[in-house]
Amino acid sequence: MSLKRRGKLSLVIIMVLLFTGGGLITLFSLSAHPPVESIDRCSQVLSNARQAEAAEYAGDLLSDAEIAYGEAMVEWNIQNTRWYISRDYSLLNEKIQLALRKGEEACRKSIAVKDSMHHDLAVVFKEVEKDLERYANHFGVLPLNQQSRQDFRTAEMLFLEARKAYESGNYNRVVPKLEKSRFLIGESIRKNQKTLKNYFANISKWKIWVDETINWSRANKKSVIIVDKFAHKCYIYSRGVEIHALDAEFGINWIGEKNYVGDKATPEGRYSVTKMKSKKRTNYYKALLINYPNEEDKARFAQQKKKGLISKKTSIGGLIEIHGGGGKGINWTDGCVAVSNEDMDQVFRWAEVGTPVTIVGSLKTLEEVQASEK
Amino acid sequence: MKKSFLSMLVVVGAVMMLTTSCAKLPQEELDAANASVEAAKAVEAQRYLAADFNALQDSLNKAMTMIETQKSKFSMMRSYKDAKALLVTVTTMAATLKDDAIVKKEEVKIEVQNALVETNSLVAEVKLLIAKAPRGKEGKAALEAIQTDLAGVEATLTEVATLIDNGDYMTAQEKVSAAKEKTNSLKAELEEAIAKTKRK
Repeated sequence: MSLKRRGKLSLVIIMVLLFTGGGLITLFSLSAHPPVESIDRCSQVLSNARQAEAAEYAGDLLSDAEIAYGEAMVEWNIQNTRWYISRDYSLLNEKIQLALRKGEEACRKSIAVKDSMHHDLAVVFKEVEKDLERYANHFGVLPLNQQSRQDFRTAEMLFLEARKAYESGNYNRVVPKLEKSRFLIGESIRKNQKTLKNYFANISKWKIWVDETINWSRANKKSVIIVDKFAHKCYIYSRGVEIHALDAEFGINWIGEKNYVGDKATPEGRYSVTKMKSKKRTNYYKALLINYPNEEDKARFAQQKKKGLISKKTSIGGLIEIHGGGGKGINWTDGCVAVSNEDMDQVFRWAEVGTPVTIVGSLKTLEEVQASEK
Repeated sequence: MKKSFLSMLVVVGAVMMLTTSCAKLPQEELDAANASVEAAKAVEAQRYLAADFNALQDSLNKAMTMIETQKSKFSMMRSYKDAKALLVTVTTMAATLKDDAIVKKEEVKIEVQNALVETNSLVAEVKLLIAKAPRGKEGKAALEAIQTDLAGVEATLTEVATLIDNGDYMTAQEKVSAAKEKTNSLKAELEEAIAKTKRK
């Protein structure tokens, strides 16, 4: 090959290479470019959203954003397998914009939800705490309902667990615990309050009994005994004047009327002393036997038996006394009224066979009782 | 003629090289990084070390973006060097995170177990205090209430033990802290009552 021909060939090769290179550069510069900046920004936004706990507080939005981001990456990969000129990043761009929008929204929503939960839950905590206190003050020691006591304990533990979760910022974990606590304590209060309201519906009758008993004491210049179950007091009146207010204990189921033998309830009604016992005639230091059941008790018992509320084999019971052996601090008798031995001496001093004994649920209204418990 | 044909073949070959040749995709590193992240997830790294796991996820996303960015480039201009290095870092980070998460989980487990032991001892102390507490008027009723409350605490502690056995240490932690707080309040109540009696 001559030098001239060789030079010509080299020139052709250079020209071809230059032309191809130039063509490719032109093609590449004319082809579409991926939105790398937006993709980076989107990745950052998603990271921010995750840091803002959007998975917890704006789960749907973050999930939408992550799905759109994932689809965008798949689309990018697909476009990258194509020939430069045929690449089209419009769908990728669309997906990234969607992911960006949803990611930013998720971040904003998560922060807002957390803020609002922090504030709102603090209010609910105060309300539930108040309800727990209200229960403890008004119903905690009352023999109302075993289930209600159990619910109160559960509510209290849930409340404490919710507070721990709140302190560590896990608001979503707070909500079910606090809601359950609120429900349990709310239901317990509602049910117990209803029971007490029904019970205190007798207040007018009780007041009449007590007034009549005191008036009788005044008119006949005699002593009478008045027992207030809610106040856990046994009052001695002489000539219409209160002379002693003694602490008293009752049967474990002291709220409500006595209905049958063994129900551990202390009766409510107007009775009188039928026997005075001391020394070996009583196990409880000294005792005053009263005439339970009276006519009203018998009528109620018969009615309840007729309705099937009490089994046919069950009897009405008896042997209700005011006796010593009290001062234990709990309601422990089978339905009697117990006072301490020292107080029983006072009772014994003022009582005689025939002394009226009026036992009532309360001398105060429910509102007055609950206000004094606050 | 033959020579000029050969020369043309070289030119075409060079052009082909120019348009198709590219750097090798770091598939091995990518697979290793993904496997490492999954392994970290399997030990609940996202639950016990959430912020670190988030950073790891960010790095993996960044590496993926780098790979696709390179793939979008003109063949001769591609370089996966940075992506490869980042993927190696992600793999290392994920392995460390996995170990850290195991350690953290173990720490939480020990913390919860200790709290459980501590609360059980507190319960035993409360039981002893109940025996010493005054039983006079109102005292016995209050003691009965404390005993029922203590029974509730003991039920919670049984739940905590089950949660520990099931590996749910976070929930166990909340429950045992609540039980401990309640037991402490019962203890304080009893100590106050006993102190009052002593003063009398």
